Amino acid sequence: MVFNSFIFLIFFVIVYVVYWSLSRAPGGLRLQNRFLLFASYVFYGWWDWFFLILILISTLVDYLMGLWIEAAGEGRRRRVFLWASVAINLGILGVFKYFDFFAGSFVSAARAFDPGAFPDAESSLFLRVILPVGISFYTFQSMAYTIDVYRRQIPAERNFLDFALFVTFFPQLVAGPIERAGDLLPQLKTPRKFNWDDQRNGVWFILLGFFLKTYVADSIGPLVNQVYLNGAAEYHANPAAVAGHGGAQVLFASIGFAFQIYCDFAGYSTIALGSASLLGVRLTMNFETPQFSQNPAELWRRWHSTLNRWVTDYVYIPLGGSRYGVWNKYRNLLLAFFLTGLWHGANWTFVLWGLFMGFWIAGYDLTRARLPKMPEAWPTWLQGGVRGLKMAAVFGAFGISATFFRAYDIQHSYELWKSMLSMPWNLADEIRGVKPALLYGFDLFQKIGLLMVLDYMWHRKNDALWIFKQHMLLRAAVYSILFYFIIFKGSFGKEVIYFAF
Amino acid sequence: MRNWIQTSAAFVRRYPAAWICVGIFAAVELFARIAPVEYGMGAAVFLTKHRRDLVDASGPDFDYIIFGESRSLSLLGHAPTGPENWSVYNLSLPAMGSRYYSYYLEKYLANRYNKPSALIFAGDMAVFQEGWNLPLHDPARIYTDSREDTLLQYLSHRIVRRPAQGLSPPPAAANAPQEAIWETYSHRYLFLFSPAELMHQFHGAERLFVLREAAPLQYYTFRYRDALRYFLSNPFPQAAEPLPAECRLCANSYAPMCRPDLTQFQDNAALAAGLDARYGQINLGDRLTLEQVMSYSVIRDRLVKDTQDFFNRIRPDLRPLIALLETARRAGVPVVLAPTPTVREYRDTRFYKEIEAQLPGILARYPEAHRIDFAEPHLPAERFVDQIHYDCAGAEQVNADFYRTVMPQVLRVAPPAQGRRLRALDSEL
Repeated sequence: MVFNSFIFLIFFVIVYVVYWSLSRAPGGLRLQNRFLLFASYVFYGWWDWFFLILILISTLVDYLMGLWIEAAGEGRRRRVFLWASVAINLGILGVFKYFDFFAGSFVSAARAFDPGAFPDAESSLFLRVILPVGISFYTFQSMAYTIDVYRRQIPAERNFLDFALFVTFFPQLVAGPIERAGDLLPQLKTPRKFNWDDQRNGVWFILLGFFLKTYVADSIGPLVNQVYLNGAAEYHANPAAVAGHGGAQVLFASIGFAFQIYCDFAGYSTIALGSASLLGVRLTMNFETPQFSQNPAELWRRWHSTLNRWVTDYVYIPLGGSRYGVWNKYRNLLLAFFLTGLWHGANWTFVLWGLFMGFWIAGYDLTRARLPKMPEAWPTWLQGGVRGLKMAAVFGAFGISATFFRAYDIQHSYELWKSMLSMPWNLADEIRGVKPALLYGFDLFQKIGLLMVLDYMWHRKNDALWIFKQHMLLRAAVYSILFYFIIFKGSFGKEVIYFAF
Repeated sequence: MRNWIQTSAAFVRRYPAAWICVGIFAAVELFARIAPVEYGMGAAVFLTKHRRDLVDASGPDFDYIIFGESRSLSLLGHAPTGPENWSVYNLSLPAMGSRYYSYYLEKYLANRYNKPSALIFAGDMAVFQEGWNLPLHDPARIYTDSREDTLLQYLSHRIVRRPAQGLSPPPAAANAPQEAIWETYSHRYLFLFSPAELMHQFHGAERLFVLREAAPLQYYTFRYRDALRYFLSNPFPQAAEPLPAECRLCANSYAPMCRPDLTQFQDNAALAAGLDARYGQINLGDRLTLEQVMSYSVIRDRLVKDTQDFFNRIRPDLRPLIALLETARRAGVPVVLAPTPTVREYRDTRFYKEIEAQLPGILARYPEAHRIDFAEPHLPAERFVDQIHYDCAGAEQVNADFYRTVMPQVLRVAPPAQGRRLRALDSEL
């Protein structure tokens, strides 16, 4: 079930009514939590109930390991239980998400030396299993709980059903945000009071999320696909179709893709935030106007911040973080981003993308002390202009990374870079069915214009709920305009890109 | 209850901006419900809505109605004028599959005082292909044995049969064609029938699927969003100039003066005027541009060969025809099968041979049904613009054949009761 479908609307209305009705019954919290757990399983099982088994395994393993780690006191057994949890969780993830990737890479490497190696690998070696929706999100969330218990940052949860709800809470089950147990579990164990402000915030986030997903993301998508094609099947049927695009078109499409995936994912996360808020639960903000970042480090604080936080807490810092010298710091940084890339998908293009990000941030970190500071004497408009240019450059560079992220394979990435680097760019003509560069760029800009205004307000006021501090008529106008775009121009039922991760 | 009302009133007072927004969209919804906004929709939706309005109306009662598909839309209707005081109205709809025919007839008869003297089924028999008759919610039939499966059966199959599939991806490819057809053409079903009618037509899990698809369209702002958007950018649409008389000639089909650049509103207005004047007829082949026709003609041989191969692969499923004959029998309406001429090369394909083999048996069970063939039941590929629709000359030839060969026989096997009544009234006066 996806948020941007009619069936979710019916599902959520039923859940909402029953959920708040239960709050007044004796034992209301318990009943609410049991009902939410049931609803979360229905939500996930709607896609394929069979894969609830995997969620149950993850839930059971981490629930037991948490208890056993806590009971083990000091010593080696604690560590054994922790590693057992990590091994089982990563094992599940490895089989379902990465096995074919590693097997394929191994076979390719072997064939580079001996073309006849593994002649029947395609039929005998690969698993070709379904990638369970949201597996990376719930596995990371559940695994982080065990690590937090091991670190004694939180006590082990004794109530299995409450723990199961923490793992499967439907608003954030399939695409995050990846919540910390220390943030979410206490909320689930505390009676939730119906609060109008939560309802108001929830409706705003849902409205905003639907605007991002159904209008911006899903209307940019077809434009981006003119350069990046409609899918892997189209690419594999005719790999030559990706070659020979205009350099400017590739650049615009890549930046367009950065906006598409931002709105696709942030839209879904914001709807999750809103849905949870309507149920009286506060989730972590996953995206905060990343296009207004002035450097890559800031970008990663604003982009998918819950994953960034996870990787920092459970990979970067345990590796030593920045504590053991400059080179170790950059090694750790690159490792962390290598894993971030791999988390996104089982393809070398994602690994390259992660490394691109790692090198970019490392480069920025190395040079930032030497970069000239903006003179305070400069007039405000000039300072604003320079900041704007920095933002455009940072998000533009992030967009260029789509040439890895969105590419179907390394060869595709190569073709895109080749197009971008062939100078001079032909700006005047239509190339491979894509409009002349400036017209194509203008089409993309049209789709993001309103988004930029809304995000600018958020960024300027540093408040996601800025709208509620505006005049009533402006609020009414913004609600109406967003609703107009959703109903009149939105696409419904389209998959969320991050489901595949 | 009182508490709830007080809380709601407090909410209204507290969030006036939200209520202004709700007010604006309530006004838009009202507009979408009372104004003829369908004139801003695409021609396909407009045609369906035009048909629905006609079929739902309590009159006029036609002596003969034509059902079919996009090609049979080319058949001219007949106004009850002069000595031939009987009427024919072409109610064909393009790309609707075949399951809807019996419900379409029920819908037409529901509001009519006089039933038609005959229903002329002029659709291509290709509408009765197996693939168009699969359960909409599960075209690959993984969890559905038949369309009559109950919801409980479907759900239990989903649970019981799922483990057998293991961890391999489902056969998505098998679903794809049917899903694509639904994706492309479902609006016709959903715009033609009300949810109550769809509820009656579908069963089990399929009913749930169709109602789920229909439900969002009950919000008319969403249903007619394309039209509302159109009227927002063109708030004062102008009527188009009438076409010169020369444009009725096939020779001028693609002359620039006969191909004015029409807005959506003008196009639909012209379409409605044409449908009303020609009793439901429109030759879809004439709507193609010269460029489209030229490109089809370049690949004509290849298209014919591919379509031949297709007809050699697919199998017929005549259950929807039997359902139509049953409905017609219950209503006391004779049926005349008069399929419009197809491309000559398709005649000997397996599909059409199987149809020809099965039809006599079916017709024997329904003696009130008749088969009347066109004098030329097949035409050369050159008479079609895209292997489906006639070019202007093809449509003229088929219409001449229809009124020269088919209609006289129809009038003989199913005389126009209403026309007779009208003539009797005339003589009394």
